Amino acid sequence: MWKARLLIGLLILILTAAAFLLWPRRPMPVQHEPEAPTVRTQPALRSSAGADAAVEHSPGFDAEAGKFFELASRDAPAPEIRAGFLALKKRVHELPPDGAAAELIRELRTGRDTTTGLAFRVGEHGTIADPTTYRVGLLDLLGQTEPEAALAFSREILTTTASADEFAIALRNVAWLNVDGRFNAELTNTFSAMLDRPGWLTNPTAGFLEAFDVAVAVGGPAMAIELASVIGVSSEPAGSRITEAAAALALERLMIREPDAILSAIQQNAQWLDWAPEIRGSLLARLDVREGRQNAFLRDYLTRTTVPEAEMSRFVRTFPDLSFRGSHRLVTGPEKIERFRGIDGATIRQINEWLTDPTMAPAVARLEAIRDRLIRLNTPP
Amino acid sequence: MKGLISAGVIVLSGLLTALAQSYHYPSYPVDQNLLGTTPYSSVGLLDFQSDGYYFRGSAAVVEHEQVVYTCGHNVLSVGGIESTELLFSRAWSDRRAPGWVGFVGLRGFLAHGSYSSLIETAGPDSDAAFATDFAVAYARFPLGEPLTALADGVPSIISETTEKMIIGYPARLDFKNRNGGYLQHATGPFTRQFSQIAGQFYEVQQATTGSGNSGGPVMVLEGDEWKVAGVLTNGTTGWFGTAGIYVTDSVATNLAADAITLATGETPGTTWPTTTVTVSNNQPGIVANRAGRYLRRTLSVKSAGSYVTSVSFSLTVSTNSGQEFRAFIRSPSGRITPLIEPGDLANGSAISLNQVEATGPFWATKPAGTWSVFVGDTVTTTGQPDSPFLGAELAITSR
Repeated sequence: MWKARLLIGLLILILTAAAFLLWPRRPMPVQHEPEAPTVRTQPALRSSAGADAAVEHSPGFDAEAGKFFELASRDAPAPEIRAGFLALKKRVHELPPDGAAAELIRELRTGRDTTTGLAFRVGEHGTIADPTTYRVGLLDLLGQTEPEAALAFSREILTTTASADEFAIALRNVAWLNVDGRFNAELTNTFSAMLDRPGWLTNPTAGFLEAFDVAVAVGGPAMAIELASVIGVSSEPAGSRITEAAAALALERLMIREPDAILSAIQQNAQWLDWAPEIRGSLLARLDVREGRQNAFLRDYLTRTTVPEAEMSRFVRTFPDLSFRGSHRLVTGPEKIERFRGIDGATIRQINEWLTDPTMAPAVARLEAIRDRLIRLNTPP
Repeated sequence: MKGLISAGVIVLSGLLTALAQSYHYPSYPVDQNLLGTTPYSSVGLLDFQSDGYYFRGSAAVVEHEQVVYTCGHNVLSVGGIESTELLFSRAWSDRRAPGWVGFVGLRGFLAHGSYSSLIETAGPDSDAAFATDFAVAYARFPLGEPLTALADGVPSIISETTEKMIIGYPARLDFKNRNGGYLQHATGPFTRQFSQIAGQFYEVQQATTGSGNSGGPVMVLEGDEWKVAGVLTNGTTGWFGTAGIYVTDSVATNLAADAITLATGETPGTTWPTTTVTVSNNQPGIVANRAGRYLRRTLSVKSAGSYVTSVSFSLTVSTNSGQEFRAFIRSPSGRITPLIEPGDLANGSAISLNQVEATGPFWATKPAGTWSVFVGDTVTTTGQPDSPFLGAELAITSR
């Protein structure tokens, strides 16, 4: 009998071992030590009780919107929720743009909402690949319909919503229609107001951070100043770093697109961004000696003795910085980097010329360090 | 009963052996004789400085002799600050580090990075961060024979039959008390499929990699050629090792193309061939004199290059009330770009837009798909006739 028990025990052991070995597990990260997770605040949801029953929808829209809502509200697997959203998008694109806008606005006015469980993800051309809530999905699709209706309703959302992700998509909808910069002032003011919303800065959602792309799209010294103003303001180190990283990336993109905006911000206020010396050094390392105004700034900057060590060290180690970051964004497209071709040779030639200039004497060590690095990186081993 | 016990023991040992053989893919040093052969000869050790410290990772020459694929956290530190002094040593394999003469300097990089990449944690260790954990670095001179990358690695990665292999430089292989040193390692080829975790972030169970292997190529066997389907982003050693990867996609392709542009940037006269595809739709129609009603015409782009370098648009409508017109295009993804806003045009002359520049957000994206143009009258004016639509044309240049 004991042998039978032993055998049964052995088989249980085998099955347990097999289950343990085959059970899917999640990885431990490598390379970097894990850090404390950031608490992410979900946007406040509206009440699902509402006037939905009183609203008439066209059959196709109603069916697809209802299906997407149902999938999201019952926590269906992510691929099913994405498929539901794509089916609704397909239906919206099939409808006449004015009709589609009317349907979406009617549905949005019901206040019906649910989270999708998906992380906010921007897709191609600034559309949303993964909406965080049902309403975020609807607002994304509204921006793909009739411009006048989308503009009016998005402006309404910007003044009423408590959701940072909804705000981001509404802001994007306005920015998409910003032909010839006609809404630049409005977008600058609204972006500034977004940064002032209580709680959004210290507990940023992904949508809130992606909306920083609106600042890049609008550009100008005013947006540069807005972006710099959020760097280092959070009392929470983790939250601060996330927001800082987004603001620094936006400034980097602004510098590549519109270096004059950054130079103007600095020339208006020499202390601009001096509280973040590494970020400032990184930005200035993107200047181009071949451009007149930038060349003049560089010539002066390199001889300054008051630049903090962290800033100048970063500058000398990366100038001219030819590293970039790319991703899908809400409004802007990728930077046109072809104009940086030939910059190393031009920089080496300019440095050699400066090294013969007695007024550049304070900068000799910096100039030689930059030149030697560039020669090394451009010479085959 | 003894027979039953023996049978049980045999079943147990057989099962464990089968598990060991079928479901665990350890990483072993690559035979020295293979280091000069594809794909091992294209894989190398990456050294970089981040936050004042030196780190190591892995990379491989891919797509172009001056370009390497690696992971994003090898070139960006916490907070998005750039790593500096990127050094590469191709096909290195020794207990000792290469030393300065064994490395060559990389000029720069292009990393996949969004504003919200760091949203789940302040560092790069999260599903959302791993889903963008990819970078392409480049040198100003040839680094070695490039491997071929799949434009979309997902089908091969999730296949149950495709052979896969992860190569790189794991620093520690603790489960066998072995130290990885600076030896190039590779998992044995395996067929187990990866599972999607978030976006381009996929994982496979029980594959040994580990710290230092980050950025190493994830190879898949297509026909008789090993091709790159992704890069390692995270992983652990031993029986319960799990390997996470970024799978190649259009973003990776675009970053690689830009890296090639920068890699050869000091070479005068180097240009890339482009092709222009023009599609038109001249199907007659009527733009009704009714506010908010739009005429739609679709333009289907089927074959073009890898990614867009410019988009221009032409449109012709015969009307006397152009001041009231709105026209816009919608990309295959849904992006709206206004072409004409009410008040932009004067009344009394036909609408004739000729190759209006509309590249903007479409630059460096995939050109294929159905584009739509919408034309509408924004004011219903009594007695005003409807306007005949005469034609639309979309010209997409891509490379």
